[in-house]
Amino acid sequence: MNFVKRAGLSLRARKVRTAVLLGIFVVICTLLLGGFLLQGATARQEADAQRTIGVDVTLKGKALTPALADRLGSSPQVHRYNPRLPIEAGARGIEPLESDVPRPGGDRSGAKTPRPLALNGVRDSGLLLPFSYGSNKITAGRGITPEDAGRRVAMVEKRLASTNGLKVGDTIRALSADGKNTVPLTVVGIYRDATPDPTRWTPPHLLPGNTLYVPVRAAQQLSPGTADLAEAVFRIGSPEQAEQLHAEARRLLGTGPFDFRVNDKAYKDQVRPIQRVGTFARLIVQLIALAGALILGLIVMLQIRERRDELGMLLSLGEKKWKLIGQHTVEVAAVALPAVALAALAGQIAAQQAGDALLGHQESASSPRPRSPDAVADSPEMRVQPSDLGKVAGIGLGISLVSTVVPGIGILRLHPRSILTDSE
Amino acid sequence: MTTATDTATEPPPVLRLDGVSHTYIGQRRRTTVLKNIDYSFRRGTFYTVLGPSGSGKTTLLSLASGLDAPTRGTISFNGQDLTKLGLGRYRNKHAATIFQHYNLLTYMTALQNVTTAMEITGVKPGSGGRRARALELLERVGLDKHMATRNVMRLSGGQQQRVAITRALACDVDILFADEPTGNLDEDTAQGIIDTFRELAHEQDKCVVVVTHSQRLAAQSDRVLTLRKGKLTE
Repeated sequence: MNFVKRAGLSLRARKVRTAVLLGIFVVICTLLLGGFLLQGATARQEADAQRTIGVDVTLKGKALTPALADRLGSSPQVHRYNPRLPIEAGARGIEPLESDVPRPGGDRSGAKTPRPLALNGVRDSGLLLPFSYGSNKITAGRGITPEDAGRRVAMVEKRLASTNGLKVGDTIRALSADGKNTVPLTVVGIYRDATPDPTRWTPPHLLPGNTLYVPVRAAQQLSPGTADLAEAVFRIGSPEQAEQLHAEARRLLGTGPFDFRVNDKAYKDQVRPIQRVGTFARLIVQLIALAGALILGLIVMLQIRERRDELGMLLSLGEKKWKLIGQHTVEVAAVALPAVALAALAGQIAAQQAGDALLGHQESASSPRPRSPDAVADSPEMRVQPSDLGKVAGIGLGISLVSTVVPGIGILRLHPRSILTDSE
Repeated sequence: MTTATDTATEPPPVLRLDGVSHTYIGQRRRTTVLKNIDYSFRRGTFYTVLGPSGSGKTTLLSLASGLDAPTRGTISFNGQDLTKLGLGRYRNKHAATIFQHYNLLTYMTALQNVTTAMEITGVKPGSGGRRARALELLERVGLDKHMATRNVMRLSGGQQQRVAITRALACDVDILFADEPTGNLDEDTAQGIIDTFRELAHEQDKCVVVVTHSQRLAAQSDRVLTLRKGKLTE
């Protein structure tokens, strides 16, 4: 292994050149690592955004039942889903809201409407448009979640709660439309609907204050016969997955007509910029790898040309050509590896700043509408993973190899006399 | 006749040139430097090659030492064609060259230059090791330990030439080639080098081929060859 020893002697003797090469390698490796970190961060943020923002698909159809919605909801591309089963119900023990405006005609004033409450059986109230867009806000307690399936709980509107002095933990009683079934519902949340009370007379079940949200099962217990869903919303990762969901819906719902609407505006607003940053990061990595290989290749090529005498001399002693290339590769690699270590420190800082500037900016610039609290993407986190360092080291060593082998072959195919004569 | 005749009583040739010609192809013309040379070099003999500048002495040395291949003809070592033996292997195991421009490894000390050559050519370390052997050889050409451990670029031209000579001597090969080896040396050191060549040929049975302009050196060799207009005569 005398070529390794020669490489060590050469590096020690050419301290300035070694330092310059190290500096260039550090810059290249730092930029490469920064690019990889940015790529990783955008991939993580894209995955987060797909999960939190996603694409909402609204499915409507006569054949759509809660059971079918559950089956569609268990598809791998669906992150969250929410069927909505609207029913009307009566109330016991509480006073439903009445329109402030007298009913036209007035002859039946005083008569109570049998089903004054509008109940919505839901699975995940966070997916309801008024909540995800922010027009409805939870002021106390919480919304209906998938964990509430089978529980008898309710989320009531603030006006109804105020009128009846309801608070989280209280129990109200809902009466089925046929009056045969009473279901006690524990209030788990109170929300505020920004819709003002109508200025014209409105039936009680159409007043915004009389709208309650309950789990689907609870709504089914209050509805006579089999109730159909008004719609079901499925949150999927990307617009591309909508086709798969459509095919699955077609399979489950049969040949009957159904309405399948894809709302990917939020996704496009939020995710596309992140994807663009990811593409930019990938281009940076490719560009730097190419530029780095060229720059280092030129530097090493110049060095090798300067060292033709040495190559000719060693060849004249019968040294094997692969050992000569090996010596130069070891010299460059011995600089590349410490550069990777230095880049691990510098790349983290550079990538964090680039990530904050690019991803942070993209996120704030692309929020045209309010989002639900769970859709807030975290600020990008740059983590140096061993795989990132491995990739940088691999590219660094690849550059070392290419930058020494390519110019080396050009010289080493000559006879030693040609090498020595040309350099005289 | 360009052939120097073999003598029947002489030992068998260690290196043989058969119909060797060499042509340089330039951008505008081809120059034939060596023309159909036949010659046999033998062990135990110290040869000098004289000739005017541009006569092809260095080319002859390059071909014979395996640094280049002739455009025509064959060169054989101990009866084996060099192209079959492999020029690299020939240079590594059987031939060493002292270059006119020394061609030392500039990032090494004199000692490291010598030991590196010994390592590459696979010289056995011996009882004292390669370092001790290299120091002994450097001492013989007048470079003490202090000089030996200095970077070669901090040595004078004459000292560098002595390092180049020592490097070739250290390789323990069958044939030693030298291109103007005493050009930068004072008389005493030059004579010491000539004595070493004679000793290598006569006591160690090596074949020593020296290209020179020095009549003094030629006078002390066993055979003087002259190269003129591409032809070698004795």
